[in-house]
Amino acid sequence: MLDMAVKAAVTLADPLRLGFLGLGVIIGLVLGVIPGLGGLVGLSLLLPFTFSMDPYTALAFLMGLSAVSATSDTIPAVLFGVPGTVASAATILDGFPMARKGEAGRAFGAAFTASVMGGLFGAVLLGVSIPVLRPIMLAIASPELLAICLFGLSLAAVLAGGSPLKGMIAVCLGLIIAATGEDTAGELRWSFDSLYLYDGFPIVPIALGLFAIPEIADMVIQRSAIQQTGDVATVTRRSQWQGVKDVFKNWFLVIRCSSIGAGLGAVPGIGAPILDWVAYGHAARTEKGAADTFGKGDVRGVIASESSNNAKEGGSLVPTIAFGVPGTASMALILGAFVIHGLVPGPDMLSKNLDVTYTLVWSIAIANVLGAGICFMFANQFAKVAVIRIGILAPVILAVVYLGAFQGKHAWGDIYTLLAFGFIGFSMKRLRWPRPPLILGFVLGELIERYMFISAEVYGWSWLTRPITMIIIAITLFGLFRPILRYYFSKERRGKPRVPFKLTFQAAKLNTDLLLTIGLMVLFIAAVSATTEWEEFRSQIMPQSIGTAGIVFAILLALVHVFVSPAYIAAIKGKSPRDRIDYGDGQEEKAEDGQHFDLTTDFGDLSVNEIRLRAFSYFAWCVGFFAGAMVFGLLPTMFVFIVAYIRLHGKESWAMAFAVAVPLWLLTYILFHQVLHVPWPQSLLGDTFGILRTFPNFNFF
Amino acid sequence: MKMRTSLSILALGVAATFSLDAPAAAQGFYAGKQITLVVGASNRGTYAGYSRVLAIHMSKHIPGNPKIILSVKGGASGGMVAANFMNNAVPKDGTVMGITQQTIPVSQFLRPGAGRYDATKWGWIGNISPITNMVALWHKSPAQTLEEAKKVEVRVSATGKSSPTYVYPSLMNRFFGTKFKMITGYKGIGGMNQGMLQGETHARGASWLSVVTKAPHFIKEKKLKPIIQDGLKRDPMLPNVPTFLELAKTPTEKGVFELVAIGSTFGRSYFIPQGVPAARLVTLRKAFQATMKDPAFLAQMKKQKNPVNPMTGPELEGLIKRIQATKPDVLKLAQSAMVFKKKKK
Repeated sequence: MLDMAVKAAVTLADPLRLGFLGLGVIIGLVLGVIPGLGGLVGLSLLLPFTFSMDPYTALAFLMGLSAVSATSDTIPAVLFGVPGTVASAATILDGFPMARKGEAGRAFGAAFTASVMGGLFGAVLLGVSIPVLRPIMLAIASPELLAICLFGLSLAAVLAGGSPLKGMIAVCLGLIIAATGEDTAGELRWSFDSLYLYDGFPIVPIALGLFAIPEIADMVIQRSAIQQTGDVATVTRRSQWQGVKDVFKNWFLVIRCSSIGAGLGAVPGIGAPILDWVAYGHAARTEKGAADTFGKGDVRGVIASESSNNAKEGGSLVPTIAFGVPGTASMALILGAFVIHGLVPGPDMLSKNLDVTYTLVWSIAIANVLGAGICFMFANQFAKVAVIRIGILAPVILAVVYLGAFQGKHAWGDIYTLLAFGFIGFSMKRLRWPRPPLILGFVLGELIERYMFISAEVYGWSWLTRPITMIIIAITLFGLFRPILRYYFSKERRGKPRVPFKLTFQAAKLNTDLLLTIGLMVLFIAAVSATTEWEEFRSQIMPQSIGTAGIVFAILLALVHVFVSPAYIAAIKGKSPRDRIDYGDGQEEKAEDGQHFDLTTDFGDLSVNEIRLRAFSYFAWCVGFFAGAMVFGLLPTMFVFIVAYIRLHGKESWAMAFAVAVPLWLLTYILFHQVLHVPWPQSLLGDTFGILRTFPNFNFF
Repeated sequence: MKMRTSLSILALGVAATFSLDAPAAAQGFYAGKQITLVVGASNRGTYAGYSRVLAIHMSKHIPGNPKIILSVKGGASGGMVAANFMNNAVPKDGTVMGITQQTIPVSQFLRPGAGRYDATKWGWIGNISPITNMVALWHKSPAQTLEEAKKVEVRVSATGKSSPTYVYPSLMNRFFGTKFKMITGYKGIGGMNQGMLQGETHARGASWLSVVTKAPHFIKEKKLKPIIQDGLKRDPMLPNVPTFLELAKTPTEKGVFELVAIGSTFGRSYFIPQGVPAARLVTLRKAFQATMKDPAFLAQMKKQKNPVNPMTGPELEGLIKRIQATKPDVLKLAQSAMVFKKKKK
């Protein structure tokens, strides 16, 4: 085995192969920075170019590309609060507040170091576990996968922080959204006769909507640059070094989160959108003092998320190599490359073609080191963005987010989804509803339903008695109940004065928060009532039970909200009544609960009416962009939008507007139109004048 | 500094734009043009796999050598999306060609009203190869032959009810009295294989090609044994496995199986929408046939283990005519046996 590892290293040391690996890394980094694009896009684009390479070169090139997009996706996550790929959504929670505090350099240092550590950990784990790969994978059947998914879902309870009911409602919402589209019984659930929803919602516009749109909104409302405090030169070598040291200080956290990343990466279907949240949830549950600092710029949050998402690459190779079952969507394309080069995944990869397998291991390792190194070098350039005026920056980020969301399914539906979830995300953020549980529910919903039916049909109730399943379920239950038990047996509780439970009508609480609760309740009721038209029990059971749970939670929340005194709630959460801050009109309930694993924005002394006015104007610009795109095409409208926004809303000069819009538009045009050949959505203009679509270089109407 | 950077980017962009226009010359319609190849399936399956290789090599055989680029409309709905898109939304000048899932032409008749397309009016360019579907038993299955499968229950891996992995075993249950129990929810070929390896199921459907390319050791070690195949005639790779058609007992049954077989015969077929000038269809058909004989194309296909058994455009038109000629009673039976997707209300 060792000789094979050495042989693979020698094979890979060929300058041409290393050159292609390096090229792959650079492409992967660039794609990772741009929201919506990622390794997957690069792989499908470049696959044909590997036809003429030898298998080692081809796989080194593709692995290099795929392994590093999770390194550079940190950059927009930290700087703008916009995830570069779905794998870095959890990085935002602490990375972005760090940037706002002027600690972008430290966040980058920690993120890149954690990335490279995670990546190496994944590669090493894959390398040493090769002899036992197949037996392990054979033991992980549908019941075990179901248990793993349930474990992941249980972390929603942690990520809900101090708002368990809101968290539960968010999970239910995520699960309901996940059930949209054709199910395994052939039922089209909640698809409203639309082909777009035929196979469900894509994750990219949802993630960008939930996290990016609200972040930009808040900056626009505040009218501030990203960085609010600290010196202008944010990213110095010293600040990056500080982040590096942070990682080594938290080495045990890195190991735990890398294991989570590699382990979950090996579970087909889980992959990138979720494992950063699981790692983040794990860190939030186990790290000292996390309850008070996570979500507010704690470097450990960044480390947890970033070490896990780079470790996944090694993990997701496991089922790919052992069975030909791709662990992630990117792996499915790498599997395609295997086939192109006449390699067959399965037993041969662990015997006859072992050197190829080790080439993959080495490629991941080298790519991670190279990728992090490049990011370190350029981080200070990127970080200068943090001081740009928001009137210039907002339209640019918005335009890129629109383009990114459109990579979901290349349809108008992507933009509808982006805006709908943008509004939901904005409301949730403003009203302190945790958004991470929604994402967890969305990603795991489909898998849980899938594995639940297979387990029930094949094993009956005996699926619960399989040893590995039992262990995972025990860990899940322990994690769920530990905080409750600990609270009841804690000294703190006994020491505190008891607040009497009293039901009184709280008139001050008839506010927008209540409105959102009721709105979601109506949504759940509508969703459940639609299920009655479906024919098969198996199509109905999951949506009905989840929907009903959602209704119950919403009613409960509404009742607690309106009738239970805030003092009592605060006492339940372990706070003394004095910690509570006045509600005003319900917008400013800041310190009601300390634990909130999501971003919050402090608007200072802006009046509520002013905030609403600015939010309205922001969303009007968003919708205006969309409307323009429907009429004139996405790409042409993007140019007009950027110029108009910078001039009219940002109140900058015409020269500035064009100086930003022209190069950005050209770059977009070259990347998306000429290189990626994105099939643009069809505008009214193009529909009316068909001739516009006949010139390949200008076929974007 | 900033200005200079912007300028150089600008220059680069302009250069990139115009360099692509440069080779425009008097080479007929396609000179300086670009052909978009719309693929109605995921970017990792064999539809995209075949199309990537075709795109590289077919360009050489079209006068003017237009670049062919792929536009993948993936996912389970990809076939329907691509069919609707090709039918209604693309320019009708021959700059867009497409491939959609092989069931789409037959599905138009089995599920009228489900799509907004009419495959009988498309200009069919050609077919790289019919793709044979089959049902195969795992070596640990309680039944090892078709006859035994009529006596004991066998669990079958399947993805979902609208997938051939479900439709074929249920056709066998309906017409041959087998006792297959379909377990739906497996993800793709890999997931179905894993289900068998882990002992959850003992059989699976899908194309034989999926075994050849993704798990050839199943064949070498005699772990997976095909018991039936579709197609109008036996696949050269499966000379000893009977077809559905061979096992038909009545003319109506035969009609149903023929419909099924025509679907898989469409295999990896390419088309242009209705309304494209006839001369361009001729050009594309000629180029397609030339590509099918191109040694470089064949070598790449061989390396990928993708079979090449080409059919011409007129042959595909013949298949369409056969679907159109299906008798109403056959169609009704086929609908009741194969359509599990609920009709929209």
